[in-house]
Amino acid sequence: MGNARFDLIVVGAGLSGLMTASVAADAGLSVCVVHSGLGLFVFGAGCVERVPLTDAEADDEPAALTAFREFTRSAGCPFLTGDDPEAGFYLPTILGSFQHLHLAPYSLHAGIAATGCRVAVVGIRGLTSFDARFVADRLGGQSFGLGAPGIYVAREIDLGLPFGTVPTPLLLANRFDRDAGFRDLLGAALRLAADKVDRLLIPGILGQISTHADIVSFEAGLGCRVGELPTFPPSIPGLRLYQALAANLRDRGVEFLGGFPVTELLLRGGVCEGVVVETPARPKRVSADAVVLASGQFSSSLLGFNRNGVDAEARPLRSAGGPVAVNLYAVGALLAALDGGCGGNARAVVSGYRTAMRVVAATGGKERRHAMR
Amino acid sequence: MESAQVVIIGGGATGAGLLWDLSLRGISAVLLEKRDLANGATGRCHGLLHSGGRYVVKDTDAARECLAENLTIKQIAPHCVHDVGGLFVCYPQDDPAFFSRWEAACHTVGLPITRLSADETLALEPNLPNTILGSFTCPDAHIDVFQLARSNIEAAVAKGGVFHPYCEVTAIVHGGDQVRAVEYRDGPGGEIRRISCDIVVNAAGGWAQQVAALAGADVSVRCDKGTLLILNHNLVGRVVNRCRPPGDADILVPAGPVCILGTSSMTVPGPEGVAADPQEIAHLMALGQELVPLMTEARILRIFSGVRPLYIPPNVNAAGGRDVSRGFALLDHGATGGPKGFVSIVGGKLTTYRLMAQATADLVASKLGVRVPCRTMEEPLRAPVDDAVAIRARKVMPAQAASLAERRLGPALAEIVTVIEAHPEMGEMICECEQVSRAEMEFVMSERALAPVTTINDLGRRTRLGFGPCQGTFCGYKAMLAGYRSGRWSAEQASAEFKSYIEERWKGQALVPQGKQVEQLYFSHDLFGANYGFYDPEER
Repeated sequence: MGNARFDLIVVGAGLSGLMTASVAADAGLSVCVVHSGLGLFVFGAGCVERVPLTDAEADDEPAALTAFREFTRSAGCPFLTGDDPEAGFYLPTILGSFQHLHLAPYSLHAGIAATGCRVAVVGIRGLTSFDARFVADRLGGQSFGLGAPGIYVAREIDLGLPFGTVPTPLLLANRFDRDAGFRDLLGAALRLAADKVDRLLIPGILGQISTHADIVSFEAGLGCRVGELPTFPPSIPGLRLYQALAANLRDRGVEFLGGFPVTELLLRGGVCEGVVVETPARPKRVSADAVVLASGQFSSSLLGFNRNGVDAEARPLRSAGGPVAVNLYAVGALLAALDGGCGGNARAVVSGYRTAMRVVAATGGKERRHAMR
Repeated sequence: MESAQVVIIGGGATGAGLLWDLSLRGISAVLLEKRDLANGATGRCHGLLHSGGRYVVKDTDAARECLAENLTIKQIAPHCVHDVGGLFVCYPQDDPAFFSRWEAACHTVGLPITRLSADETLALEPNLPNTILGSFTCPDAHIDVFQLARSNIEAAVAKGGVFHPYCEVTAIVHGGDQVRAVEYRDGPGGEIRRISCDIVVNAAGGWAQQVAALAGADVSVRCDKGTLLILNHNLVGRVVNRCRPPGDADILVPAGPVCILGTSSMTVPGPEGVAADPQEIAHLMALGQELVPLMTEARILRIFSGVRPLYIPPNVNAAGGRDVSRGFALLDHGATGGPKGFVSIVGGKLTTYRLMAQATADLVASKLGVRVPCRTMEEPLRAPVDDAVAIRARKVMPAQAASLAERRLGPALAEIVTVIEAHPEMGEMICECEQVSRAEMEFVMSERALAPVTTINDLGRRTRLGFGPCQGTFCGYKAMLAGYRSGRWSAEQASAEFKSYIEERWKGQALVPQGKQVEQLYFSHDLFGANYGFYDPEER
């Protein structure tokens, strides 16, 4: 890549980072996503919660969510609302609770709490990290409390997993991806488990690289809708979403420099000129006209100085006042950590959208520009 | 109605040791503890089996007692002790006159020490600052406080003793001027039950004053808080003490995979509700850095505080804290005008628990007319593990897991090995940090275990599940499912139990000011909080 220059560097490949990259790329900016890990895709599945945002953010929410839905749809991982988008809907978790959501990916959506719905929670023999009976027991009571009482029963299927091993959702998901025989076996077992119920709830194991079409066709063979329950990290639906979004961004010309942490921000005269990435041979400088930090609340010291909140433009502030750099922004969980607001995916999506739009405006709404490197 | 010759109140090391001593002498005894074993000072101390070096200069009686008991405990409970040895290190900033006073005092007391040069010391402990002047070796060791309490209780129960955890004493009943019975709540929110008895022993440590009041007696206890930091490394291989008058943060104890830095000392109003505060923690870390400079880069796993119950004799005006003797006191209230048959054992140190139990048991036995002498100084707490079983264990588990299980379970290892041989999936490691297998977890939670488990935290005390870097984030959930599957908890109870468990685990990490554990904590918050809707994110 050489010492490259971009319109925008996004630090972090979590939901807020990828959303920022997507909106910026749509507006014709050249974008590089620099990241060391996957962010919180290893939790959950990217579901967008129903949470209160600040007034300014709430104004942008409809446009942000529209952009998000378009992004995920074109990436092959469409997100759905409930029947009443304003009211949101409830999806179950493996702890037997319900999450109040605005949007969820298709593969989870069938788990939606609905009055009178008969649901079989299906465990897999040997998969000890998931207890169908516990989940069904809890969801029954909890759904009643939500005013959407459903009937939850626990069932178990036996996939003949090798004696003496302890399978994990990741292992099963990989087999789903690679082994058509395993998919058939799973399908046959789930068909039986779907007897006399409207829905199935299963631990999230339907592959890391499965497409929307794969999942729909698998479901069609069951004669019944199936909802995935994301398990303990790594969550397979989360990984699947990440792969889909990252692939989509690459197809749209976004560059990824992954696996190495950003160790330094290049700051000069109140402007951020780029970042330094700790690549193996020697540190790599990547330059840009704007830098968005989507590095999450876990990366403690990237800002290198005490956290002093953000300004109205979501730019981190110096202790003496004023932004650290006029073109340095924060989104997602990092923004939440700086301004004390709530975190979560809703914030990630909306803040990513808003900041990307700001960057686009600040760079003067550039002409389509292809990277000449 | 339930009855026993003796009711012991307080399931710390002293109470547990006393249950064992009495059971060995054939005296029927019931131990009542309002929470789980080692809930008070025992479960929140440094885990240091003192050689006595810390007390040689100021408190020679305590030093002598510690030395004798140090050797005894290594004989009777080797499975609870990591006999790593200790050093008293001479730092350049400390008073050199004290080094020679200390050395002389050790000779007087008979504490076996060897002088080492600076180079020799650094060869043993390279993480010490290279400005040190030298050191003295001593027989300090690390003791696993939970295994110690548990072993005493299990040994006692095997000999007829009775242990009732989660049973809080509500009343001590008199007949005339003599105690006759004890009333207690059988489990949280349970019924009130009564045990009739001849003797009641108050071994309640920090709660001794409250328990004595139930009997109409007076025991003055000063509660003194000490805060400790757990670091996720073996910064040192031996116990490292600073050779100077006892002060804050001058001991670092290697405790298996971690090491523990401590401690502080300040008076607090009572035995409960104590927590460390940020200044105290910063103070400890600054001092710790003097002890071992590398500490600044170490990962702090958890910070907790315990309360030392210091006995204030009635006619002593004590300055408090470190100036109060670490010796113990055995109070026969009946002999001083108080209720007959009511005895309090107060003060002391973990290292001298057995001696305290012996003194108490001797008094109790004489009151009951039982002429059996104490044997706890000779009788091992547990039979050794058969070699054949140890070999079988290493065929079904990784070697490290097998040796940890051996230490924790002793002869009971045979049971879990049999289970894993028949069902290999029972060899699944539930707690990967501490290598606790499913078979061990289920055994410890079953009725066959002699020290019953009520909460996931109790399970942690017996197996160290959740004590490692993940602090229960992953293993706590599996433990909860195991409790649910076995029928111990309904789904709702299991869920509530897990929530209270993980919140307890969070508390200790919430005080950690920086480093990887902070990220681990946020990870755990996100996992259970927002992601699983376990609690309202607004609450955070």
